[in-house]
Amino acid sequence: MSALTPGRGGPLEEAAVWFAELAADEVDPVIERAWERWLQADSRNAVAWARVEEISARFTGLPASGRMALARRDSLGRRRALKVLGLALGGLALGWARPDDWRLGQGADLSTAVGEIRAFDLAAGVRVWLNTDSQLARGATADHWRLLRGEALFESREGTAPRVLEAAPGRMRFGAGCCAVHAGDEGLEVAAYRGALQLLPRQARPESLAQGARALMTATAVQPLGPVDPGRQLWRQGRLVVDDWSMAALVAELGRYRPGLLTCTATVAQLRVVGSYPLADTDRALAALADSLPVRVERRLPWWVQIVPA
Amino acid sequence: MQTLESDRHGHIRTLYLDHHGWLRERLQRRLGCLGQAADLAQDTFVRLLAREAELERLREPRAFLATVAQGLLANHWRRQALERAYLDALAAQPQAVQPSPEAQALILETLTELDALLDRLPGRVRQAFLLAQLEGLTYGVIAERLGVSERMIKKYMAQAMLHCLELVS
Repeated sequence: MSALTPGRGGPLEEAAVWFAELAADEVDPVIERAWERWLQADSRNAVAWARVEEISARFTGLPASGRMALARRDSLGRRRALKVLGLALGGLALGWARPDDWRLGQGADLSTAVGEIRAFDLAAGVRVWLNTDSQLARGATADHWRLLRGEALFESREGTAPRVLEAAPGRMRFGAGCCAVHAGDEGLEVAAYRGALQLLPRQARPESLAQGARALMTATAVQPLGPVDPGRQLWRQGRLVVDDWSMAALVAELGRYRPGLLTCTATVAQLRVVGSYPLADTDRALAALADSLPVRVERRLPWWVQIVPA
Repeated sequence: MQTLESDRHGHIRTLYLDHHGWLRERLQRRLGCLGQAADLAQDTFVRLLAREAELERLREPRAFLATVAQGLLANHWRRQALERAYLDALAAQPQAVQPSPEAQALILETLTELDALLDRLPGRVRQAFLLAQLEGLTYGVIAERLGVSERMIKKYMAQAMLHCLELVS
């Protein structure tokens, strides 16, 4: 909900993109004219743009002291708020919610840039793959890791000691086998591909996740998400394998691997897509898409590519 | 004799009688203030009115109450942090430009709303948006600060704005 869900298209999404372009310090007159054409093309665009201006004014129109407070609160306050959240009712909840600030990493972090997929050996017999734009930090002990951002897939040989992965909503304990975690806006998505694991939300009871199951862990609950999709883990080999996805979902997924913005119009958002797409070269993936479906790839701004009807 | 209405809220009444004192006492220990603790405990039970379906299947009422109260407490802390930051910022300003107490309360209210609006965005997206909108930094400077490309900053800006648009409309 909170991340841009590219692909649904529509005036709000386009208005947000134009805002990002026009709020830059230098705006090319050619781009400004393109924006004017967009604005006049549809009355819904004009309505959406008025909303953008209203929202932007709520921030820029604050008095200096208010702006300073909001900015400072963001840089200093949130980490403390997070800590307070853990401490606040710690004893009251179930007694084992740990108050330590899990974001404070020690030692070198492992990370990937946007579009990068990399494998690291964490210990003998334990390997992790980091997906695009991800960060994993070493914890206090050798078997403790923190996912700060993005997605990771762990594979551990038989006989390796159990490990703990910590993320914002809680912890995961896993042993030999293969499992994946993805830190999303709603919580931590966990898939147990091989071997079972244990999920320990910060403010709820621990729950087991059986082999072959997926779940969403939030701070207060573990919600089952049905069986794992075996094709989903192929990202570690650089492939995105989709079977009957909507164009909107595919565009959202491919967009994670690109530094610019990828969207599609509402008119093509519901097209069904099947196929295997290369993640290392998403331009090639988009070209393949245009070959097999009634769509065209349009570069609307240097940083904005949109899938439109052919 | 029970009316239909009180019957419907019977679960909450029982919960209230059994656990209200316990919850208020725990909250007071955290907040150090009886008045605030009483308010938050009250708010917790008010929230339960909207979640009756869950209450009927409740096995561990205190854990559930604690979770609801924890959300409210987090909001409370958040607001307090914002208020402190605002008062600090005001103190740094010359006396002559201080807004009236009424104006201050209104601004604080707006700040709380804006803070909540951005709350669920990923950290870097929120930071990029705030640096551009509140501090007027260029995308180039923000990109350098966050260690990403300018193209990513534009993407973050669009992401943040769409998030606000969807929440507001």
